[in-house]
Amino acid sequence: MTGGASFATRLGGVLAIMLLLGCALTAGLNYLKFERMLLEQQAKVLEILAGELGGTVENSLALGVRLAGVPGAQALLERARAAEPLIGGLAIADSDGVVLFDTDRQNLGTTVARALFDPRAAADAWRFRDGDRYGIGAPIVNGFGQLEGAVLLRYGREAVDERLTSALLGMVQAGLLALALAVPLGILGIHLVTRQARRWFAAVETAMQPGAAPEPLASGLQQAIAEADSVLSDAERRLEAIAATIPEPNAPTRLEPATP
Amino acid sequence: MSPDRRLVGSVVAVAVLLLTLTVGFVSTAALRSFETELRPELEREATVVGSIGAQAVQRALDLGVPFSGLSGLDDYLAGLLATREGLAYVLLTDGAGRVVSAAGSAPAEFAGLPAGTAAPSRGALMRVQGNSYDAAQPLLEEGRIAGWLHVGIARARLDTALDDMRWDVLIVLLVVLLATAEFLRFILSRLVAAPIDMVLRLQARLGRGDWTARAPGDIGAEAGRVARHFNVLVRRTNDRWDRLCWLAGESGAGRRAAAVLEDVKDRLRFGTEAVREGLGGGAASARLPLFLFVFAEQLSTSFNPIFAMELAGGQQGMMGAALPLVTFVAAVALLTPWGGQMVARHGPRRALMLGMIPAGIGHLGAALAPDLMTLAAARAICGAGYAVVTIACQVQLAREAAQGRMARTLGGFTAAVMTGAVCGTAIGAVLADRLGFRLTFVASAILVLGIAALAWRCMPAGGESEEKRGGLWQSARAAFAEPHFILLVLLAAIPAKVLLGGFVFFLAPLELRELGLSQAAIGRNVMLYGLCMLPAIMFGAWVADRSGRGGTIIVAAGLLNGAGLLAPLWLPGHAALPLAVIATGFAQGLAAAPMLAMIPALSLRPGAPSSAAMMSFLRLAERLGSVIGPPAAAALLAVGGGHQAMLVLGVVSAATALAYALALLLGRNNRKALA
Repeated sequence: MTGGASFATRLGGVLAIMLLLGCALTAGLNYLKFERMLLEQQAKVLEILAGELGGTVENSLALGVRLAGVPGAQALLERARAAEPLIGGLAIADSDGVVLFDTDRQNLGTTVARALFDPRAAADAWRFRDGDRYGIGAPIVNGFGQLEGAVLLRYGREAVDERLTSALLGMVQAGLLALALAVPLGILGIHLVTRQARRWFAAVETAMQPGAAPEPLASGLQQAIAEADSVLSDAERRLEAIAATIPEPNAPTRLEPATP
Repeated sequence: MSPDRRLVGSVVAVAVLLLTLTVGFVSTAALRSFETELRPELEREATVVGSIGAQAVQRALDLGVPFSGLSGLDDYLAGLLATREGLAYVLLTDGAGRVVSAAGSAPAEFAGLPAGTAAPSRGALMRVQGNSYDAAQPLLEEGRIAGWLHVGIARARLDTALDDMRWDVLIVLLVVLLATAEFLRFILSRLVAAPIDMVLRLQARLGRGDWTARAPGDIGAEAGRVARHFNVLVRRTNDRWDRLCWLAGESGAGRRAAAVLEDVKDRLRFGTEAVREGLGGGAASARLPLFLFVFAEQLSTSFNPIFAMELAGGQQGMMGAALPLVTFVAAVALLTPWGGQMVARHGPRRALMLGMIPAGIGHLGAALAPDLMTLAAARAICGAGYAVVTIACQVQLAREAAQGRMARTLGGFTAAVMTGAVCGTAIGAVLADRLGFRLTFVASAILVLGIAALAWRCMPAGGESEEKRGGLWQSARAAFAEPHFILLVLLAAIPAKVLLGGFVFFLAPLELRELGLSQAAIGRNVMLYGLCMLPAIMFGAWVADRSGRGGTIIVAAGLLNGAGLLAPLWLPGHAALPLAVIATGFAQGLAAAPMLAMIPALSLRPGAPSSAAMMSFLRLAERLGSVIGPPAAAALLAVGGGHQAMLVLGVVSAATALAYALALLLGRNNRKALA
């Protein structure tokens, strides 16, 4: 901790850093919580839609139709996608993962990764990540409780990102405004409350200068300096007086320099 | 007059005020934007559920069933409500807004849409009804609005999320405030209090005519300028002395000149002293690293058992969850005496640096642990580091304690540990929630690295030569051969920790749950312990330093703790339990500093081991008490119930305190008799 900056300036710096840290932590942690909640809420809504689509397909299965032959399934998926802008893509795959219907027709007949199927798929909807896209799987179960396949709903987080950016901008604006006021106020406050200590240091510093005026805050130090000065001045005068007189014969003087 | 008395308080007050206002303002903005952005998502959910529900009704209307002839509506709406979590109500109104059928509990303020309300072009008509978001879907019969299907989502979900966020903001604020206070205290100590102390010491030496002193040249800020001026002043005065010597040599009047020089030498001393007047590290040199180290360690406290259970894959049950905690505590307990030896051998700074190595490796190991056993091993390694670092800091604080401030300085140890624990646990839970368990461990490891750099820079080297050395068993025998130490351990340190572990951490949460309190309310009640302990540490230390009666304070604390635990005799449970927690926190805080402050004095007695070794044995005894506490309380609970267990613990506390008082009295009388 060497260097010229005043301790008050350093304290002000620490306070500014802690203010920044406080704002950053508040904004950052709230942002992360907000992100999680928004993603969760979005997934919840889409899960309802996927479940509803799965239910519609199950109704057809109950009539004795095989999954690959459910009438209007492709149109159902395309209508659902058109109705909900959050949906990036919809597919129906059989229990082996073969895509039977897909809003992206290029995928028809392909096999989806087994990792996209949750082992508990027969019971509940599940969520998955497919690259940078999120996904929800809703099971399609026949009348005997067997897993026939699943509705796979893919979606992006663009809508969430928009909301997050908007919230983050609001927090950043508030943070910058708060910092713009608090940092100068903090530095001013620190300089005010450290005034006495700074005066004390300045008084001690001044008191050690040659010919310094009396400093009430450093009177003890000045007294010690004055005493030493008086002793040395007196000795100087006496030695000057001795030097001015005739030298004594055969009397060596003992010399003790202070420094080697 | 020294100007640093009120400086810490004033600076901290400015920081607290500004931080509270700033964080409060930012969090208010965050919560407002959170509500603004989340509300449309909740409304979307209501709309989607409403559109699904409306489809079936609309299909019936499209097939020619008149709106007034719809049947089975109550069952249909109840089914719709039951399958969707978080819905407050689903209800059907006719075109004039009269409720035809309903499921769930609509708010009292609910009002149907009046006749003539236009259908929205897309989706649902959104409104706020009482404490719910209401999505109304139109039902059309021959092109006209025949009715509305209303789906309500309770605001409670949003309010719960906002409440969570408010608690998180409060925690962040608390952590930032406590951390800021520690940082400011550190800087003030290094740049103001220690330099002022040094200047006053130098001034005292000049006052005694000693002009051999030099100030260290590596200080910054105002203190650095003062040090440089001081050295110039001393050099100038020494130069005047050199000139006098030269003048005396040149005078040719040897005897008379020598007499003049002798007169000066009688009053003043010149030259360069081998040992410079040092700045001193100050108590803050160990307190800040200790605070940060405990903070880093406690980041994982809130999720350690959960992480362990995750790694165990549910195979090991509760035992699996407890394993990392057990290995950590066992390592701390077993290695604390060894840590004391290490500090005695290498000095606090070097020991602390060595202790950081296992701590950092342990955190990294925990972050990368693929299974439960690796996590348990990593936590044991962390425990080894914790044992060494805490003892090193404790010994450093004892070394730096000024005369008459031993208890206050050592009280700083407990305060730093408590503050670090409160901050670390709180912020660790928030971090783990947002970043995950593994990344939180990585954050701990990075923090440990930073603390090592800070300690290397700020803590004074040395200290090893001042400590007495000896083998572990030799030290243990010597320590426990000291009657005062053994009394302190058996009648004060162990009972205190038995009460802490047995009552605050085991019995109180269970009894509070029995009273029907929520988990959050139980947490707040238990937190009273820490909140009361922190000021009590300062108070106990201040009284001990002022009165010099550490033993009496320990006795009073034991009696107070006992009285607090006997509260169920006079008060009902819901009042007695928090009161007992408060009494325990206050009593344990009161006794903490005097207990530690006795050690340096005891270590000076003939045959006693080093203070590092004695402190490590005291810590070991405390750990033992912490281990005994919960099972002892569990046994008492099983035998006689919660109130009985509290009463027994209270009697134990009061009895051990009285026994300690008696022992002190007998010891004093013996010393008087010998004198």
